[in-house]
Amino acid sequence: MKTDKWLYFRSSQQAANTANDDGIATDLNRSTSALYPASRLMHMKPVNDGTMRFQFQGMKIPHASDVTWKRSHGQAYDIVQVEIKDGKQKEVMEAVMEAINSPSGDGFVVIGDDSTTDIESKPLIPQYISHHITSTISPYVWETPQGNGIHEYYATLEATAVDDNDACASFPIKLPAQSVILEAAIRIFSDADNDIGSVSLKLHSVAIADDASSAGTEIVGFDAATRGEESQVEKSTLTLDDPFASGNSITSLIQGKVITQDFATSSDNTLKLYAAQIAALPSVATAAITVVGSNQTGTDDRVIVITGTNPGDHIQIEQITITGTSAPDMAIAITQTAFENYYNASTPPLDLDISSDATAIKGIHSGPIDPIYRGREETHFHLCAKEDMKSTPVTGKPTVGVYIKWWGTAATALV
Amino acid sequence: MKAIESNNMWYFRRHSSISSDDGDDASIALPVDQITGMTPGPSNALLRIYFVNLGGIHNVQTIDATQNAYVQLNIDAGRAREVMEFLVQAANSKTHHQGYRTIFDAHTGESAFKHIKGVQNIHNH
Repeated sequence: MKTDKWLYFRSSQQAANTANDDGIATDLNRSTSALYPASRLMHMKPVNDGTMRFQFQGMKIPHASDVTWKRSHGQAYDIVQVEIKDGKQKEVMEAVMEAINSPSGDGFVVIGDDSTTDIESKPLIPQYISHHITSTISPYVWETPQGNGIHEYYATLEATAVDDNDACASFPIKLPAQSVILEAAIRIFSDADNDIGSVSLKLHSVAIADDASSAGTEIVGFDAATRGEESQVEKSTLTLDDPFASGNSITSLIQGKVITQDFATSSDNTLKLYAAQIAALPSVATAAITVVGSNQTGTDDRVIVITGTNPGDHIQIEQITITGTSAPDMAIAITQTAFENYYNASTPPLDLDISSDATAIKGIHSGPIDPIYRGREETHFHLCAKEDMKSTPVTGKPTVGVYIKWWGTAATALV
Repeated sequence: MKAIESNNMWYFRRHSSISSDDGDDASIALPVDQITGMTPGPSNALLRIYFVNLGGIHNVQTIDATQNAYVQLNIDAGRAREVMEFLVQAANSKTHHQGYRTIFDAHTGESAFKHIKGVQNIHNH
């Protein structure tokens, strides 16, 4: 702290009563109140006629999380906004700077405190540094780095005593849909006190509680299958469980392109027109219908087999929705993967020993994995116990550092 | 503005048993000039003081972090502002405490302010 002045904000959006001054459980990137050293104020600026912004170096995110060349709109700074009387931006800024530079006062500078009732339900008078401020907006105190592009996150997790193949610790963030996982690593930070424990790292579309059966895909560890070899054309099958009905409409996202087909004359013909649109995609060689009954005018054709153009290319098919009365469902299955075999790219290809005799190998990296596109799924990560760590409980505080790198948008904090 | 020197430090200890004062999350002497801010939550009886990650305290391996470290105080419910006001005063009263001040010590029971009731967590990995 290079200055003895601190700037305080409390918003009535969530904390009109000081009993509610407790953070915002539904949005960990915001808070009910915040106090910043004045030295971390980067600038003040208008947002519009009636709103002014204070920008601070991040409270939770270190300055080291430099975003240059990595992300767009990737601010590593916090934002607090206040509502003001129209056009009084300059007057408010002057009042703030007078307070920061004033030799008097105890250093606690209230920029805006909207609270009207204290914890004992006694009335409070809202306080502002300038009579031109009318209210405070809940501060943005970012929990995770923001922006679009390359992201990295590191956290230390304490492994708990669980059964073999159960989740034993969870990563404190989740990634949004459309993320591409690029790299991951785990490293022992503090060994267990006894000769028990080994873990791997898995990803999954939902959170898995500690001591619950693990699920998902292992990306670092002995059983990771993260690198393809012997490329081949991928084949996927789309299967209707019932025919299209008049008025139905199918919409899907294939290779990032939205494909829509309304019901046209018959179910078979609708499927034919839909398949033709898929076949027109450059990454698709064919989208062949399995014709039943020697015609495409009835209701018995149900299957499309999509074959990729190039060996090794994955064809992403997602978000198939069929609307309208008596709408059927369409199932997606990959019947031939883009590679004939997948091998473990983990380096070294082992689980991480977290026991007291873990002397040789301290860290496992994902190695040169194929980027993992998550499509419409969110991504959670957890450490998976690779041996029974419960019958004879692992003791001490075995702690593992977990690193994730991904391409996409900002993660969401979970704790 | 009066600059505060970097040797102005606050002390926090979590555990009443001295034998538990043996790790990263047990106690810390925090340079005040490393504080990045304070905010309440996740309850109205908790307040986090964030500071630049010091990379571990007790000679454990230093690692990079993607989030700042913090000390989480137990406080009287709804008194976050009062505690923050007190801490600002404490930051500015170095001359009375030689720059080193105990904010809360669970071993001795010493609390620098009536609304500070404990140290819930010290996260400095």
